[in-house]
Amino acid sequence: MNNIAATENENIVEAQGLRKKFGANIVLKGIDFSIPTGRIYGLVGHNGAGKTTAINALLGLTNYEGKVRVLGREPFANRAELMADIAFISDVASLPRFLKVSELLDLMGDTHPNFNFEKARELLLDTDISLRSKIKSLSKGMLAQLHLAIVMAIDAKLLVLDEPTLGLDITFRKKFYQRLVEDYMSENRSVLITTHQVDEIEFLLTDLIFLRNGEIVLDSTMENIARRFSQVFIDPNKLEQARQQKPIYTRVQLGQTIMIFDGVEQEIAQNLGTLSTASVSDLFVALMERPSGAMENSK
Amino acid sequence: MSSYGFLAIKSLLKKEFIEHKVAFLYVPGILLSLLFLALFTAIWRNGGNFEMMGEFGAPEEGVDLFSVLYVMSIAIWLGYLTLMLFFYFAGSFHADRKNNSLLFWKSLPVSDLEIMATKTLAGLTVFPALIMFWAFLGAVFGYIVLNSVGGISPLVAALNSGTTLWTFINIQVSAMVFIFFSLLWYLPLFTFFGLLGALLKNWAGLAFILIIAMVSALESILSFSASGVFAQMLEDRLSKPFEIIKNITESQAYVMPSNIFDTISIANFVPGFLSQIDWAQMAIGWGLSALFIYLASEYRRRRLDA
Repeated sequence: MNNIAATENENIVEAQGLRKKFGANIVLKGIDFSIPTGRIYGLVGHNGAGKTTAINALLGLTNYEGKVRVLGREPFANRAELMADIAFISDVASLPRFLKVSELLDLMGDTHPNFNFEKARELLLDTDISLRSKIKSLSKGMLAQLHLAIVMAIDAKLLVLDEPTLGLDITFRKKFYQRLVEDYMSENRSVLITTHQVDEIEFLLTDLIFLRNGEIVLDSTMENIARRFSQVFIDPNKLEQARQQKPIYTRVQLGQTIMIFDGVEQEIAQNLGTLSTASVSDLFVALMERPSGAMENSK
Repeated sequence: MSSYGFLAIKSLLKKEFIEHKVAFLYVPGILLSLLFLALFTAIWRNGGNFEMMGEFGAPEEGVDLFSVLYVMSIAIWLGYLTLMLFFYFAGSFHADRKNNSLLFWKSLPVSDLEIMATKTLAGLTVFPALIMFWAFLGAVFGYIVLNSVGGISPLVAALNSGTTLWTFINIQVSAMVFIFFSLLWYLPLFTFFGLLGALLKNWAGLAFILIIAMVSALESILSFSASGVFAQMLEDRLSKPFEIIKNITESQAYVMPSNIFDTISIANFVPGFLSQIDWAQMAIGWGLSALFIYLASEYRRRRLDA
């Protein structure tokens, strides 16, 4: 896990009662969360859980109900000003196809005060993308690489990545996340990242938010998650004892019963079998399949 | 404006140019090339036959013919420009939504209003300048063609380069003034078309015609008159620049067709044209244009999808 800690109390993002509906369909049901500086947040949820809508609201790309402040500003009314300090990649390829790569970099350099042309060019040297290429001629993976190089070259206070590595092979994905932590991340920046490949980003997250049907079911630091949730490979003789501890999730794998507990003391958990740390994906399955609604935040 | 100000405007204008260079750079270039290729081929193949044309009239002064052809070519370019600008405004006001790129454009620290205003600015500056460039190039080639014909045909006298240059400057500057202020005059129509493009995408043309036809028809029905205020305003808006041209030529008692163009001068045309513009109506048009651009930008601000 990444150990970058917030050095300031100031939150980059504050959302209170964030609500969004499309017609009769309520996509976000009045969620509250905040993102301090120097943190890497994972926003995880099923398709249609409201992740992209929440991100769009934070970026000022859509209107909403509730109170949202990003870098102290109301996003929908101040999108242009905010974008000087925010970089983001959407979950769909969105680079303008009629431009050449060099023209795109020129455009970024001329319109974005915090864009570093040379850094973008350096990042592209690691790829097969030529500055003379037309964007429409690039493959899906190259498009993602180009967009990542562009956002990484922006000196932003908040980086929002919505499924950033979609279409990229495992080597580039690993390289990108490594670079994100080593080169990009600093105590003055925060990152909000959504992905379905949660296991790949687990090592870099400092905080995790699970979203289900427009509601937050978990909002916690990774340290607290490790303390709060325990995964136990249950001793077959202690199955009944384990059930009494009300596991939030139970599965059987190759004849072995595995349970995840919420808030059970480590000593008790250890007595039930072999204790291990629940991965984000295990926790995701556990919490998303829980019949009950939102859980308490555990910050 | 964003903190980058004019640099951002310049870059967005360049983006508009790149996106629409086919209509304003490549197609006119190809058309002009084809025209002059045809002309040179005709001269080369039928050079001897031009001498026979002298039987049909007195030798034409080279500069007169140059003026006539140049003014005619500018009229054709103006028609092309107007048509393309209608397509440009309807298309460019929603073009950023293609291939999900609206998400990219919205990631820039530039507001929707700034982007829409820049698109309008491109329509008033970059593209007319490109068309004037082609008109200029056409004049240069026209000079070469007329000199070629002048060398082999008694119908056309060879051009005196000093007089031709002076004629060219007068026509070019007068045409630029005419085109620029005419575009400003027509701006509310362009931006209204742009607003419809933002709202309805490819249906803008049909909607534009339907709206104008319906408002005119309703007005006629309600006022029991064949031509109401709206229809009259629209007619005035469409015909005004050309009425001014007609007034200028009539007031100067030019006689068609031999010497109407050879005395076009900046000193006569520009003050004459500017003094006859209805500046109150021009200002109303700008106000309406600003409203249409603002409405289109507000609609864009609320859009995310393609």
